[in-house]
Parts: sequence; structure tokens; C-alpha cells
Amino acid sequence: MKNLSLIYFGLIALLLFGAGCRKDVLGPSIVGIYGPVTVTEPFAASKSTVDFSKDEEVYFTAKFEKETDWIVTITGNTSGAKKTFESISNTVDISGSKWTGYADGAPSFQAETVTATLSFKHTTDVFSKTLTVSGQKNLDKNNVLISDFATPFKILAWQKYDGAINVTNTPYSLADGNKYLFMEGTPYQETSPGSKVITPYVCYIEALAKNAATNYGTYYPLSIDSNKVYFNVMVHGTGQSNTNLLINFYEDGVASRHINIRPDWTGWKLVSVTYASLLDDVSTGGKPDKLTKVAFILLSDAVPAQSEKVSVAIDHASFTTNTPYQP
Amino acid sequence: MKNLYTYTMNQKAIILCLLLISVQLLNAQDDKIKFGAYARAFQQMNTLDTPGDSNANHTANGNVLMDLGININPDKKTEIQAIVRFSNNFNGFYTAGAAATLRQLYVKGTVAKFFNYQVGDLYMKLTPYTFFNNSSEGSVNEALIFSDLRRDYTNYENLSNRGNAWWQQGAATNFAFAFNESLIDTIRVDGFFLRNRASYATFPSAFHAGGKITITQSARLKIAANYINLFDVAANLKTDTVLLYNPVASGEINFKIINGANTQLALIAEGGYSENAHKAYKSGTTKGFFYDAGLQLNLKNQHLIITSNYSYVAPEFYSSAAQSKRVNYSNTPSAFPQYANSLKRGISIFDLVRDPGIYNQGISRSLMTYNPMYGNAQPYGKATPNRTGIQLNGQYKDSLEKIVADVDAAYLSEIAGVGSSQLRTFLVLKGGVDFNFHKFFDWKKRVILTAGYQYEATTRGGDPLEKVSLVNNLLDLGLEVEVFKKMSVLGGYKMLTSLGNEFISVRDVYNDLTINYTTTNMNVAQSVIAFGLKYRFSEKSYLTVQDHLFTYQDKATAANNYSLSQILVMFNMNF
Repeated sequence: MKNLSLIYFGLIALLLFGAGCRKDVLGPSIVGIYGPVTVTEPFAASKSTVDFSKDEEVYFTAKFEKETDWIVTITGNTSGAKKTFESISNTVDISGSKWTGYADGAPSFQAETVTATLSFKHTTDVFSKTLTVSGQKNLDKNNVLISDFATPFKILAWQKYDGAINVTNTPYSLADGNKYLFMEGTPYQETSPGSKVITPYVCYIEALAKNAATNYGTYYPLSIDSNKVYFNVMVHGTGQSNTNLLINFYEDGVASRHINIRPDWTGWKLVSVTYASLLDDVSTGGKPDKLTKVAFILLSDAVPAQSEKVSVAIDHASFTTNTPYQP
Repeated sequence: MKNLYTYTMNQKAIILCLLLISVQLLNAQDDKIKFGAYARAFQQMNTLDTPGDSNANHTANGNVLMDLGININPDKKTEIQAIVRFSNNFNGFYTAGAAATLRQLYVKGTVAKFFNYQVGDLYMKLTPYTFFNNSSEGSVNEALIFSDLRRDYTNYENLSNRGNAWWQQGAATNFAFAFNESLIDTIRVDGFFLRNRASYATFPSAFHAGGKITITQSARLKIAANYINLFDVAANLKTDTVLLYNPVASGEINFKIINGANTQLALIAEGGYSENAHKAYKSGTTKGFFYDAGLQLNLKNQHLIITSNYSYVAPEFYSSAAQSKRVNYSNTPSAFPQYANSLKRGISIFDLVRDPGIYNQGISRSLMTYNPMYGNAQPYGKATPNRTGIQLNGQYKDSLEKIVADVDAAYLSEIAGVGSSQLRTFLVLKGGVDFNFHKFFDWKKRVILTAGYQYEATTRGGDPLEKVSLVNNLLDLGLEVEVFKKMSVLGGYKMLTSLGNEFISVRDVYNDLTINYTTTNMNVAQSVIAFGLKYRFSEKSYLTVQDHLFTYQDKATAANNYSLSQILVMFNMNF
């Protein structure tokens, strides 16, 4: 009986001990995140005009009564480009909102006016500021640019069959602030006068290293390590299900790697892949330092339905090292 | 001409001797090599039906497999066990989908008549706070029509059919001392070294090492110490990365205060601590502790066992091998992962019974995600951090097992508020009963009714924005009626309802709370009704044909509703 009493006393003591040891609150405050926001310092930008071509920066500030889930969204009024900063805190400051001119994805910001918006995940309050970007960021400082299609069309090898290949700025918005390559057509190939064979091919262009944005010589100046080399291209889709953009990579003149892109989305999208992840065409390959040519081929999956027209726009094809291209 | 098939007397004698020697060799081989097998043929046909979708979706698949167990005893002290799986999918054509794989392999034996060892595949279990594979959710004394499928198909495929043990790969050893006329009866020592993860890419190898010392002082007193450590091996690093270090230690006591022939009252307690560090990511360690103490009363004449205990698990307590969940709620179901307009189909009570693909076979390095619909009070079992409270359990089983019942009640609360100064409280009431009617009336054929019910309520007060109210109900009913000898009609019903809201913390890979919560509002009802036939060739071998009808109803968003039906045939044989 005495033993039982001792045991029960011990258990009750443990109960009280446990109940008494309350700790601090774990995790961010739910009321702070989901409750109404009181802004104690208004939303502002560190400068009203920023020139990213000179590597200038801009940041945003605001203060709130308590921690909350805030979002700062910058939208290009001309380009439609977007950059977003998000955090849970009671301040917006340089550490969480410094903008150096990059976008989150395609398209890129141009020299334009932009609208910066402060909003909150769990309330409808919105605050806006307008800024002017007087100079576009030099996005190709450390890139190996194949072409941005802005300079006169230097790529010599191309074939359009019955399709169309144009460097243009219509009908789509600009991806990098200047013209893009537009390819369109229906699939067939004429083998001899009066004899046509239906193939998936619509049209294509080829970019040799010596005829790219810069004369790189025989080979594109890329790292030998294919895991470090990224191929980047902005692609505008139209939602068509039969469009197939085939990109071939030629090492020492032989088609060694390729990638198939099916732009079933609408709008501009940046496609970035490592050279090592490209599909093999030959048993040897994967030598980006031996790259001599890149070919962009528009195909149609609608074969043999010849009448269906397919189209795609591409822009700012480039190689980067260690990280994907930042638009 | 001489008949070439006529043997001389000497030749006959030589052939007879050779035959006798061959038979002797074969007998000798039989002693050293034994075979056993598990065979299964499984075919299922599933149909998904969503309202407004004119195209009903159908899938059908199945396979036949045999797990051939080869047990070799090269000598009296050594045993080698290998299980080779031969499988063939029904959909393939002539060996397409056929495979032969090594499913398990281990060597065990005794060294110096003293040390027992096992190397290779093994099953490991310690205590619910140190090394424990918690039972999966979605059942409370479920019907035989569900439990057969869960045990012989789902758990078997996931190598989780050994109770609460984890299947692991590594080495284990144990030895024991026995004492005569001493203060101590026996001391047993267990040790193990297991691989948690092989190194790949930038991730180093990780291992579990630990052991247990059990001291039995007498029939009344037993104490034990457990230790387990999950750690990364820095030498395998290819680049800088985190170095996980998670030691957990505990001490146990089992003391029979009263040890009578009819009445036994035992004090059962365990307490311990844990550390959690990521040495290459941040300095310092996070330390937590726990204790669990209670009394167990065993009334043998009344066939009753009553247990009450109080537990405290600190918010910082982390035990990877005890808190890893059996179900991975990040996985998608194998059958119809999408439905309607590309809606992602979440894991349901239908999948928890019959889908091996949603289950987790490894020990996680951080707390896994969970679905509060299937258990919100202790989603990580007894070792769930940030929980304290009292639990009661009563078990009844009469000598003839006419009635077998189990009742649980728990009242728990948080120790620290999560996102709020208010604390969540959890009330869990659970009960299950088996009525073996045939034993009441001494019938030779089985008539068994099973029932189970679980009620779980989570509440938190405070500001309206942080209030939590979530009520889950789970009901399991089952019936088995043996209509002919060894042939039974089976029926089963399973229902889960979940109503209310909850905030689910999001943790990163370092087990830290992030700045996000996943909010969820639920008004869901799920139900499965199943019926079928089962023919028992023996206690371990049977053939069953079943039809399962599942309905998922989201009362808040009708567009999320769907139903599934499954017809399955399973032949299960152990020999």
C-alpha cells in the first residue's frame, strides 16, 4: 500500500512537472500571418529611376505592426516581365527585396517603366509604386551567346521549305527587349520537281560557331565538363499540341546530342538544361568544347495531316557555365 | 551378338554401390539445405468513376510470383538464408515482365558458442521511443477481408510484415550471461550496425548504430538501457553538406509490484533523451527528452489487463527510427493518381489497405509529412514530439476467446504552442471487439463479427484566426460466415469522416519549422464496402475473390468527389 502511494505521488508529481514546463511559442505566429496588416511605415523604393546597364540596384522598404506573409512583385509595363520577393517578417528591407535587374523567368525586363506592388498572402491590401528602368541589365556578360536575333540576321544556313522564317517583333511580345526568331509552316519536303514526300520537317536554321553573335572560331568556347555547361533558349508556345522544336548539337560537325521541346504552353518560357542531360545521338559525345554548330528545327507531329500549320518563336539562345541563364 | 545391355555380376554390384552412395549424398544434402516458399497469384481490375466524366477509367493488372526460400546450414553453427523471387506479370507476353530477383539474404550463426550474429537483411525493433515501425493509419480492428489484403499483400511487399520491426540491412549480434544464486538472473546484450543510406551524388553514407542491455534481476524486476545513433560518415563527402548526428538513449524499468497467481501489478516506465545536430549546416545541437510511466494491472481470472500511463515528449525530442512513418503521404496512389480535370488523387483508406506503393521502407532523416485526417494526436506514434498526457487501455480476452475486446482512451495536449500561445488538446477514444459466435454455441463452422471505432478530436482556442477544431471518426465492421467446410463468405465496411480545420507545420530537411503553414479545411467522408469469398486450403494458404466499392465525398467541393471499384482475385500459399 505504501509502495502504491509512493508510485501515485510520483506520477502526480510528474504530471505537475510536465504541465508546469510550458515553453515559448514554436514557429511563426498564425495571427500575424493570417490576420489584418497594419502598415507602420509606408511602402517605398530606394530610388525612382535605376540604370541596370550600369549595375545599379534598387530595394524596397516597409514596416508592419507584426510578422506577416508579404509579397513584393515587380512587373514590366511593356515587357510583362516579373520579379517576386516574398517573406514572413515585420519589415521589407534591402536584405529581402534587393533587385538587380533580373526577372524570375522569360521575358526579361527592358528599359521601361515598372510597377512594384506590395501585397499580402492572406489579406487583400495592395500598395504600389512606379519606377523607371532607364537601362536594361547586360544579361550576357558571362554568357556564350548563340544569337539574340537583334543584330542583323547573321545565321546563314537555313531552310524554310514552304514555311516562313522571320526575325520580327510581332505578333508576340518581346522576350529580351528586341526582336526574336519566328518560324512557321506546314510540313513537307519536295524531293524533286513534282514529287513531294510528307515529312515532319517545316523549317530550320543553323548557327555555326563562326557565324554566331560573335565569331567564336571553329568551336563554341565552352567548358569540357558537360555537367557545368547549360544550354538556354527562350521559347514562345502557342498551346498547339503538334509543334515540336528539335535542337541538334553538332560536335566536330556530327550531330551528337539533341533536345526535343514541345511548346504546349502559351507565352514565353525559358528552357535551361545541362549539356550532360541532352539526349545522345552517337555513342561518343558530350564534348561541349567540340561544339561547332547548333540547329533549330521546327517539326510537325501532325504528319501526314499536312494542312495543319505549326509555329514557334525562339529568342536569346545561349550557353552559360555553372548556372542556368538568368533572364 | 552380345547384348550390350546385359551387365556382369560385378558391374551390377558396382552400379548398386554407386546408387547407394548417391542416395546417401542426397540425404546428407537434404540435412544441410532446406527449401520453403511463398507463392501468390494476384489479379485486380479497377474502375474509376467521377461525376460528370462520361469516360469511366479502367485498369487491370496482376502477377504471379514465388519467393523461394533457401536455407543452408553448412555446419551446426551457421545458417544462410536466401529468398529468391520469381515473378511474372500477366500483361506481358512470354517473359516480358518476368523477373528473378534476390529479395532477402542473410547469414547468421554462433561464434565461440556464445555470440550470436546476423549479417545481411534483418528486422530490428527496440522501444516505441528508440527504434519502432509504428502501425499504419486507417484501421481499428478492421475486417478480415481488409486485414488479409493488408498483411499478405501490402505489408508483405513492403517487408513490414513483422509487427513493428523495421527491415534493415547491416549486422547484429547478441549474447547473454546467466547467473546462479546471484543478485541478477541474466544479462543480455544486443548490438547492431545498420546502413541508413548509401552515398550518392553529394550525400554521404549514413548509418544506425546502437544496442540494448537488458538486466533481469528476477521474475519481478527487469531493467534495460537502449542506445541508437543515426550519423553521417564525413569521409564519404564529395562536397560540403550537412552532417546529421542523432543519438537517442533511454532507460526502461519493468517492476512487478504485485506478482500473485491471479493478480499482477507492474510499474512500467521508460525515459530518455535525444540530440539532433547538423554539423556542417549550423553549430550546436537540439536536445530533447521524454518519459513515459504507468501501471499495468493483470487480472488473470477475470481475463483483464488494464494499463494507465502518463507520457511527456518534449518538442525538441527527435528519434529518427521511432518517428519515421510507415506511410509516405508525399507519395501518390498507384491506381488513378489523377482524376476528373487532372485533380491529384490523395491517399485514401482504400489505398492504405491495398497499395504497397504509398508505403515507406526506409527510416527518414527528418519528420515526415502526415495527413491529420488519419491521425492528428500522435501522427508519429508514441514518440510524437510536443505531446503530454494520460492514456488508458483495457484488454479483455476470455479463455475460449469467445469475446476479444480492446479499449483505449487518451487525453493529450501540446507542451508548447505552435504559431500560437494557445495549446492544442487531443481526445482519442478507440475500441474494438471480436465476437466469435460459433464458440458461444459450439458450432463447427466459423461465425465471427468484428467491430472497431475510433473518435479523435483536436481543439485549440484563442483568436478566431488560430482556432482549431478537427473531428475524425473511423468505423470498421466485419463479418465472416463459414458456409461450407473451409469456405467462408466475407463482408467488410470501413468509414472515415473528417470535419474541421487544422494548420500543419512545414519542416525543412534539418527538421526546423519553416515560415509556412499548410492550412486545411476538411469536410470529407470516405467509405469502403467489400464482400467476397475465401477458401482456406490451410491456415496459411487460401484463395479469395473480392469486390471493393469505395466512395470519396468532399462535402465542401462536389467536384472532388469520385468512386472506385475493384475486383480482385488472390491466391496465397505458404509452404
